[in-house]
Amino acid sequence: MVEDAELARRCAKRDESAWAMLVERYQRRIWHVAYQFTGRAGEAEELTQEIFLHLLAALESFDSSGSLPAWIQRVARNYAIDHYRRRRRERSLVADGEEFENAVRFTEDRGASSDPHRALEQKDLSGWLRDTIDRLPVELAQAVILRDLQEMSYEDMARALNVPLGTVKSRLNRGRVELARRLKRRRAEWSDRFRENPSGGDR
Amino acid sequence: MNCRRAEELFSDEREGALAPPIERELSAHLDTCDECQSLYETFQEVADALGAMSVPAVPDALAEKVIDKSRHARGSITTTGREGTPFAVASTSSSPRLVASASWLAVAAVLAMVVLFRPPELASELSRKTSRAARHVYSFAIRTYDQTERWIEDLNVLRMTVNVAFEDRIDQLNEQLRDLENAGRRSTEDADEQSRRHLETENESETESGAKSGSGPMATRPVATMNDLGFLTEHSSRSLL
Repeated sequence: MVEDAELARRCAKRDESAWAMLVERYQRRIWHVAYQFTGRAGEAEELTQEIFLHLLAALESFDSSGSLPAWIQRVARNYAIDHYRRRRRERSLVADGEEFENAVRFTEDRGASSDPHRALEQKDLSGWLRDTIDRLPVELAQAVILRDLQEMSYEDMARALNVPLGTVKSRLNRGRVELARRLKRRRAEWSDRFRENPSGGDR
Repeated sequence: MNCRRAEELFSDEREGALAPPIERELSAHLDTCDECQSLYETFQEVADALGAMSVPAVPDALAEKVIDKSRHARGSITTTGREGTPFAVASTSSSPRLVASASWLAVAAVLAMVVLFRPPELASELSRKTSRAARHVYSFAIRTYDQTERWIEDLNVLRMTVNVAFEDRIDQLNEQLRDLENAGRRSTEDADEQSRRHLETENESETESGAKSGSGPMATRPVATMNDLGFLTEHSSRSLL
């Protein structure tokens, strides 16, 4: 098995066999970063490819005395953070009202019960949370993704986001509280809807 | 403790990072505030759900797609194109070192052309063309080396070398042109001087012989006039004899 330092050195010299090995070895790690930042398989696949190309270009700057996995993780996360910010700027998010309608269809399409108490089962809650994270202010969303999805340390988050430790903790808490507040509001809307139309659905 | 302060402590409480007195204060607030208690419970549910969110398996053929995209990216890995060796050592078609060698060769060829084509009338035009070619080569090379200080230094040396070489050539050509111009000017002046002297000699001859001076055409052809006069003089003398 080729050592990481040797692998990095050969990749920096554009050795394709070494590059194929590196991609194979680290694709799962990069895929996780990409998926946790995008929440969608198609976008995650594109972002994975972008991150690998970025790594290939950056490999010349890798210090072989350091840890390649740690370096790859750091470069990939930094790229994903910048990408997330760019994507959020570009994307026109749907309004909250549309979000509610989409949530209704989301559940009905899966044949879920119209019972509000069963409507947000774990699988649906995960999907709703993923969509709602992208509707938070971008700084709060980044903090939630890095800490709760990627389990990053506060110190690493502070370095990656270039903000003080206290700011990182504050953003994370505000992000979580905001998600909780929106989930409460959504459940209240579901309850109102159920009371108005107990048969379930509006079709 | 108010509601806003209570919310700020949710994450620290979940991670067990609160000092006991503050934790007791928060607990007391939640016991008395239904809104905060409800939000706190939902907060815990959200935090649990976030921690349990899973990532799907790596899609099939993702690595192949990455490698394929790497081949098409600028300055990235490419294959040698040999059958059966899809992952052989990368070709150096975009290698900066090869480009550097090619650039040096191109500049050397340009300089050789300047030296070989010596005729001044060609050299002037050639110098302009070769200057343009050298500039293209230089700008192409500079784009390739922008990340390497050593190569940039080499190019600066190269640029100075090219500039000095062209300046020397142009100076030499200018000197040659100046010499030719001076030579041409001197030749013209000599011819004018000769003509003036012939005219003076003709006028003196006409005065001495008492013959009528010639009209315009005669004046413009001094040598013929003299011959004509000589022929007539000789002819007249024979007739008289």
